[in-house]
Amino acid sequence: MARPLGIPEGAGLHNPLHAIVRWREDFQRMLSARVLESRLGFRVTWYLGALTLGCFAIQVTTGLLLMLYYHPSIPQGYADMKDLEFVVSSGYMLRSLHRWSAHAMVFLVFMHMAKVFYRRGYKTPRELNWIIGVFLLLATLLLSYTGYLLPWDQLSYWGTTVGANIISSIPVVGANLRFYLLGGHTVNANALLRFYVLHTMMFPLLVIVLIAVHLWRLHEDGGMYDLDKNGNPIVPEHSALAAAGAPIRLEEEKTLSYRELLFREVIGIEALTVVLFVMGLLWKAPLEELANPLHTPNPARAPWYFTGLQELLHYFPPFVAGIILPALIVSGLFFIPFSPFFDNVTTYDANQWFRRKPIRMLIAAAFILVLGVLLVRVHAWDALLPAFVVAILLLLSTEPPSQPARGLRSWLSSRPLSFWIMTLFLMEAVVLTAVGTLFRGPSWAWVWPWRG
Amino acid sequence: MKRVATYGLVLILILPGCTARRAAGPSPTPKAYGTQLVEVSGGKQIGGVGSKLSDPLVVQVNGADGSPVPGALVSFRCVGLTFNPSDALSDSSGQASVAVQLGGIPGSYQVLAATPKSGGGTVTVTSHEIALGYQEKLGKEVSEKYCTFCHDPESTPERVSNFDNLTPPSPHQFSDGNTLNPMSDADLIKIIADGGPALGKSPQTPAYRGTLTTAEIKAVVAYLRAVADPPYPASAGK
Amino acid sequence: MSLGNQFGRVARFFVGTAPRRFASVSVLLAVVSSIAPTKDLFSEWRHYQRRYVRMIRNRPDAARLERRFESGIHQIWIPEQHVVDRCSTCHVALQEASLADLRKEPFRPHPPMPHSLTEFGCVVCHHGQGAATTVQEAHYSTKAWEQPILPSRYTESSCGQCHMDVLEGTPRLNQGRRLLARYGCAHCHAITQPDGTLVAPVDEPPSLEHVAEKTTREWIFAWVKNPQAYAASSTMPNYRFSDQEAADIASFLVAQSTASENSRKELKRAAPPPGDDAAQAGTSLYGTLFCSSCHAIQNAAGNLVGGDLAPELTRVGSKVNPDWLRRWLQAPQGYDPKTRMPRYRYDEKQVALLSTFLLSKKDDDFLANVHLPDSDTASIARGKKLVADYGCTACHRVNGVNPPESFAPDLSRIGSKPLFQVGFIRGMPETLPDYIAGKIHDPRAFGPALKMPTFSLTDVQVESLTTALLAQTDRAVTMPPELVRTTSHAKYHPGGDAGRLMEDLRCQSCHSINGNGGDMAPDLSFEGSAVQRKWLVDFMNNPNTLRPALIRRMPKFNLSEAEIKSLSDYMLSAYQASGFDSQALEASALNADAAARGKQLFYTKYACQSCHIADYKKDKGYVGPALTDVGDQLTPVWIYKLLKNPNALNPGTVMPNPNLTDGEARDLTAFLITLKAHPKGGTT
Repeated sequence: MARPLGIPEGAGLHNPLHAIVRWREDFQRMLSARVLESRLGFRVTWYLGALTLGCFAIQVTTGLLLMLYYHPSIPQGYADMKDLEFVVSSGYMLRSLHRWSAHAMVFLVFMHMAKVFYRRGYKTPRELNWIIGVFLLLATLLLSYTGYLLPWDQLSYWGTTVGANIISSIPVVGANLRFYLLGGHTVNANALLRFYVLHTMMFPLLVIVLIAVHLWRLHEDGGMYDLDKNGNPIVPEHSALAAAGAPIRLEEEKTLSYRELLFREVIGIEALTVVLFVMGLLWKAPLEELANPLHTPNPARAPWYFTGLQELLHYFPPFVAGIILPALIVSGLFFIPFSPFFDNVTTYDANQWFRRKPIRMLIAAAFILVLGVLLVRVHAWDALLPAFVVAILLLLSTEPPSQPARGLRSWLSSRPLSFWIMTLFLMEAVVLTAVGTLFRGPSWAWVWPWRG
Repeated sequence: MKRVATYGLVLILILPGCTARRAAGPSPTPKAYGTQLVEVSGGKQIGGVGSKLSDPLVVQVNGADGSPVPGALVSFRCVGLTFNPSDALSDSSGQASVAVQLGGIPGSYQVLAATPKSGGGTVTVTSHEIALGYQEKLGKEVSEKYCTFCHDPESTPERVSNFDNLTPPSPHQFSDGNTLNPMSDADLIKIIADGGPALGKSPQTPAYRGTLTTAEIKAVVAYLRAVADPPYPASAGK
Repeated sequence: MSLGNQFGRVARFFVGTAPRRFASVSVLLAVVSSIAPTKDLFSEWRHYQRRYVRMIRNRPDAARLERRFESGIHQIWIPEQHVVDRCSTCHVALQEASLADLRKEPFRPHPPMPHSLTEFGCVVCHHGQGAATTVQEAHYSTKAWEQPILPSRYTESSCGQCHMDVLEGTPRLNQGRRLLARYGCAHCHAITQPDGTLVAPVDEPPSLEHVAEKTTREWIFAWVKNPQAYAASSTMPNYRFSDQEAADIASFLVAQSTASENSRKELKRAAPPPGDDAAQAGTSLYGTLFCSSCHAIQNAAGNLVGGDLAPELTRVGSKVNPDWLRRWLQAPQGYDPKTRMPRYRYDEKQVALLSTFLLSKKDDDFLANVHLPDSDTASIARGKKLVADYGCTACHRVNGVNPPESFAPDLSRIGSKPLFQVGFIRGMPETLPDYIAGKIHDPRAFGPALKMPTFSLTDVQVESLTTALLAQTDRAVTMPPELVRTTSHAKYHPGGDAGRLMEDLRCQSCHSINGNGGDMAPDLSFEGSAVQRKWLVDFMNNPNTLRPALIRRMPKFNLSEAEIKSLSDYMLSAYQASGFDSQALEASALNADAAARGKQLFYTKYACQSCHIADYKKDKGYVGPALTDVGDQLTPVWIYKLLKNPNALNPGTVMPNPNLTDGEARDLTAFLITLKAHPKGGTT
């Protein structure tokens, strides 16, 4: 790497100013070395990773401040929530920020994963980063799950109980796993302490380490660009210019990314923080009555990011919906970078895909048919909706290869198999979560939310 | 054009919030006007704080010739009391009746019932309602157990009054504000605790020092002050 | 320049380049993040405290009040009761008695009350959310949390969480608890009291095992349709049965009826004198036998005259079978062994006259329009099912139907029922007291399928019942025993011959002995120490009255000499006050001089004649019993000790403690024992 300030090679390592300069340069390396200013324009899907990191930072800050007032014991924890609400200066704000930021983080991490997938950011050399990302997704969900119990109100208690009961349906080891998780046979004081330690110590440390590796890998893998054989970034605009024979003007490359990109990411994070503050001012985080093991609310709803799973539980037995399907989904996520069978491309060359299209289409259609039959058998009409939509899209994409490639139909017909499966999965997740949160009432019966 | 449309839309969305809120419902319009207002029944009722009085407060609107006036608007006002309804039209017999709920502060409340007069202005009548708090209720229970058989001239099915069996001077009724209001609290406590002779009065009032606690005696005094008619100045409501 | 261009320029100034965007968003963030801490400076409670400081500046004792005021959040913390009350943050002057003249909250001091604020906090009595520091959350907390502030008319219910004894300051609570026992709520609903016992009902629903002997199917039909049409004071509720249902129940009850012990006995009857004489004699006999002590009859003006211990007899002639009535009057326990009515030992003539009188008390309109179809097995089967479904056997004994278990909801914790568990009627105020009051007032409005019947209660009675039920909170049921205040007594049943006699005579229906029994008649717990034997025997022979103005008096039981002796012996030996040494007073001290001094004290210093009659010619005071024969009636030691401390020997007495010296008490005793009956005889 060049040393732009003109410090000679091997010159004095003892001068602290020089050391600072070197640190600054090392810091610059954390992000892409070069990026065109034109590429730094605002794109909705662009800052999702940074925003997720911003949410995490908000969580750590507010979480540390909340820890000053919270005792993880029964019923002191609940009384502390009330103290935060009424006595601690801006205590309600701390709590609301923490809660909305948690929801935002789950949502953003999900969107980030979808964006990375659709932008094919899991291809070589980025497989490890994708794996780390899946681990971060799981860690985020677990952070949310463990934090959910801490207020010790009815919502917390029963949401945690529902989740723990799902775990116990794993064959052979389920009951033991549940015992280890809860520190007992029911959700009680041991569980609270355990979840507190998990939520404030173990998972945050894990997440911090994972984020560090994730960001380092991001840089090593070339940031926003693919790397060529020599490890240099492939800038598509340069390729286009080179292909057209035009000279590459150096001025367009002048942007130092760490300042500009960092600015933009910090602006995004600050804007997110403003939005979360406003949400915290307008809508206070809810606190229901003290947890009552003798009274189950009807319905006992899991946190919103698990209500999709709960909706599936309504149709399938706990072992299938709680263990098999999530295991399939998670392992599917892990497997995505290593699925040459579905998506045998490492370049952006679209033409290669047509060769495998019939097989691809058949497999996708078969997958959807099997899923459809299964869902119809269990009368899961809401889960059938995304499958139906994807089937329609699949039908639309059938097009003879001789036609020139243009329009939606041709774009669809060139999608790889992983696209279809991932799109189906994402749509199912959204629909099932929406249904489980909004359209289910007492005894998990269907309700229209506007009718109350 | 698009800009105008945007500004216009924003304005339309904001405007409804700026309009003044309408009042909670108009009072009924009067069809007639009277010249006199008298209380028929429901005054001087005693109830616990916050409770609804068992009888409604009924006033009658009369014309100049003394005949009842139907359709006149009567409004009932008193800080601390709730009336249902607070404005009512008099019925065919010229009477307007409202249910009264007492407020949370013990004491005597002065209700002002007003009706607009034929020639302009209003004619009013005041009624008193009495709210008893804990101390006054305790005083009432104590006085009904130990005092009323001599101090209340009327007999009830539960007890016969001893009032007429006493030699003069006769005991004063507890609602006798004219006699009791000028006496200080200390004097009242003294006469209850040490009997009539302590204030140079008849020994027919026994000493209750050995029977009642200080709190109970003070409670009786509080009750006396609450039910005094004319009202005891310190406890009279607005 | 157009508006759009101007707008564009301004926009570019703030968000044109990345650094500017950064600056703008940062400023926005700084502003937004400072809103919450700034709102703290204007929090609601600070506003109230500032108002208080401004208000007290104009008061005479401003300096003292300002010294005693501390700004900031105030809290009362009682960890054992899980109490964290921050009410005094806004209600800063709760302990400043000098502000009692203020007419508006929140700066009024708390009225005098029997408990200290720092020992109990606020929420224990007033409910609400103690931990809150805003008006909305403290007073009107959300449905999922603790109850909102208890309306002031129900505050007495909080006393009932610890106190099971009868307190003077809680008339509504006392009445409510009496009504809970009297109206039979406890027959269907289990209500656990703070000391762990269940509320025991005191009404006595009659057994229906032999009901066909007593009355007709038509009467049962009319009664079940509307009990209050027969007896306005009846506590039986109205189940709103349809005509068909009532007819079925009547058929079933008549069908299940078996023969009672009385029905197998020989019935002696005497022919009553004919014509008006019989009616007149019957009426006066009813009067002299003092049946009105327990039974009430509506007089011509519509007022109930008599006691409420036993059924109302206004229309009894339309109800009972004449044969049954005669057997009943002779031996009530032969029909219903558990009845409270004593066996009066009437002779045949009295029975005949009484029956004629009672049978004349009828109302022909009552059954005029009742025409029932013949009863058949289907109707009886339906009736049996109805009796089982509606829980009639929770109160009445019926052959073939067992008492239901857990028939109605347990009300032990009704005062803490969370609002989300309550089904309100649309349009009613959604608070717990309104729910309870509404349910008691009209249960069927909450759902036509509910089985709870409608009781005929006045609004005041409903309010009292609601108060008593609101006392049944979680805190009440889990109260540590050392904090419960109760005056329960051990069960008392007299034993031996005298005991059997007292059972037969049902003395404890009216008299209480050692805390057990009724409260209509004097407490007999210490009667043995109080009275002289001769007077007691004379009294039981002929219960003259000490209080002629009362309607409810002790009836004459026509006891034999042996029976009277047995009872007197028992009472004089068993019913002694503890530590009573009947020889304590020296007879020599009670001489004529002492009597003269005593008379002086009686009439002049203490004016006892304002309440007691010592001489019929002079005295008129009628609050306490007449003392004209007290020298025959009471023992001197009793008189002496009673004068020294009336409440110790006669708990709850109205007689004030005159704080006599020993000498004064002796003198008064000496005077009182000279008051004896005229030697010629006659005791009045």
